Amino acid sequence: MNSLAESRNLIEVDGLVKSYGSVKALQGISFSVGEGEVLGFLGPNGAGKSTTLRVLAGFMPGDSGRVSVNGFDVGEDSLAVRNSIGYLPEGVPIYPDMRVGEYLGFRARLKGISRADRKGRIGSALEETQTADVAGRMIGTLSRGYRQRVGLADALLGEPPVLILDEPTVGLDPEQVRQFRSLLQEVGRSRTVILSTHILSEVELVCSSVAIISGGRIVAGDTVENLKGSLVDRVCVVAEVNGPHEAVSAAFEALPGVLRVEADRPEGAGDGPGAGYCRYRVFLNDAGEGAETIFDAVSSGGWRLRQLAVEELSLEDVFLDIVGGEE
Amino acid sequence: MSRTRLSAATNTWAIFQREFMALFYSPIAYVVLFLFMISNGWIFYYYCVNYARDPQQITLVIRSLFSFAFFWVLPLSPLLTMRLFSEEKRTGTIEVLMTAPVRASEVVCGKFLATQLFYMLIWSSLLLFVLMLEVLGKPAGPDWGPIKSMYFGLFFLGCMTNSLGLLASTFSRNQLVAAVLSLSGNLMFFSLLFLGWIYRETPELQRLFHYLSFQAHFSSEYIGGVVELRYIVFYLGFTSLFLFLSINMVNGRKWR
Repeated sequence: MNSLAESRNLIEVDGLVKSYGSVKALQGISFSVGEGEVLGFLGPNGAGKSTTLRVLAGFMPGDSGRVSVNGFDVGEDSLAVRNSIGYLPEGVPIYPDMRVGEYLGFRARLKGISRADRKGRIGSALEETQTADVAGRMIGTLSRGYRQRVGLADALLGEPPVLILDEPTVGLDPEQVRQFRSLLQEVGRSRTVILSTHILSEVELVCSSVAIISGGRIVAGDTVENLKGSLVDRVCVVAEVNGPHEAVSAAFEALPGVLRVEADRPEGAGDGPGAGYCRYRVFLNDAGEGAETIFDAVSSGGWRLRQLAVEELSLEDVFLDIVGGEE
Repeated sequence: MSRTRLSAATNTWAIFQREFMALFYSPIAYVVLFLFMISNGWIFYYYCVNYARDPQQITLVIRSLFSFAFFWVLPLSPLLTMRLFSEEKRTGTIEVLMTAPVRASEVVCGKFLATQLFYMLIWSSLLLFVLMLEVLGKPAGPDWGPIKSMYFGLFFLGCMTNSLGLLASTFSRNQLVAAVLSLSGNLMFFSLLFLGWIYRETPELQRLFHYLSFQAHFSSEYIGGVVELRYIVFYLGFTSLFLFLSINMVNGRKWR
């Protein structure tokens, strides 16, 4: 952890603003990513994730603010920036009319890889992304998952110090996602990676830190542990209660320290022994006696209680909490 | 310094190769080539039959062939160039392309040179007919002088129309829009001859319009068998302007 803090920042963004016409996509974003760090860029659709990554990759300029990658300014030294990144855009737009090997050869030349190294680099990129078996196939005929991996192979080709991946696991099947994560963990050891996603479990699994972006602003940025740690004194109590819906909700919401109450439709609704039960998820600020207060509330209301449990909060809850609180 | 020049050359060469191959991957090249050859083949056949008894038959056939084929100058460049950038924008591949360490000038030049080569290949298909006359028309044969100057002129004219088409394709993500734009540009240059005819009372204006129009150059080049330097300057001047504007368009990309 200490060595991370001492190392230099490979990505630095300071006060980045970008608008499309009258739409303000980014309203002053600042963050930095250190060497060997894997940053998860998390946010709902339209939050500005892709825009930020495009500016970082040198595809388009921001309106104001300073952005530097690998020590080079994105605006002034675009070529040097593009030389030090591997970029995988959202949706993996790559030429459908080329064969995989041919395409990687073309990209290798653009990235200035010498003729002597080309074959070896392409081979290892194909191997790393497990695409060697499709090297002779036309990109247009590949499945989404394979195309994604070819795009990743291209990003890895130049052995860049910085990888910028926009939604890299969309379209992969669960097994491919698992493989991709282990690949990313391996790659992330020697490189700086910034990846955007809306899948929270992904961030928990592969990222060392998280930046949550919403409405063009960074609303939270920290290591995964710290973000979850900020929830230590929060707790979620699950209770299945048989009673009048509004009255139960109102009673829970009136309890001290309650942040919000979610109610699911009753399990096994209708006839039978389960009829009338409803599952409530109560988010409390006070970790101490959450379950006990809920129990007291239920018994004083004279309702019936079937289940009472304390749930651990996930990153998803942090996310919803922060993004929800913004609105 | 020499290193950057070297990388510029390799990048342009890589783009050139990819773009030239892409012309053969897409059906449009074959469609254009097919239409070009079938229309000119028919014209060739028609005039061969028509002038069969004329003592100057070979010269007449070749002149008719080239003056009819000349109308291909209008649609050929738009058809070949329309997808150059608009397709990349539509499918988003421009994002991958421009985030590689390449300069806009290298991309533009590579694409331009690939189109230019293909353009000349299409025109060279006419040489098959000339060759036929050369072989079958013995002892008389075609006069190669005007044909050479015609190809010389077509090359420089192609530079201009192809660079115009390339510029048009940076404007829109829709190929059709790009094609219509560059076709309109070609038509504008084409119609200047008629403007010259309208202003035939004012010799200065007429000379200007003649200088700016395509056909005037070509009648003098083909018939006279001379290529005038001022026309080459004219074509290359516009080519540089269009390429420069294209580079600026690609550099200042604001598209999403």
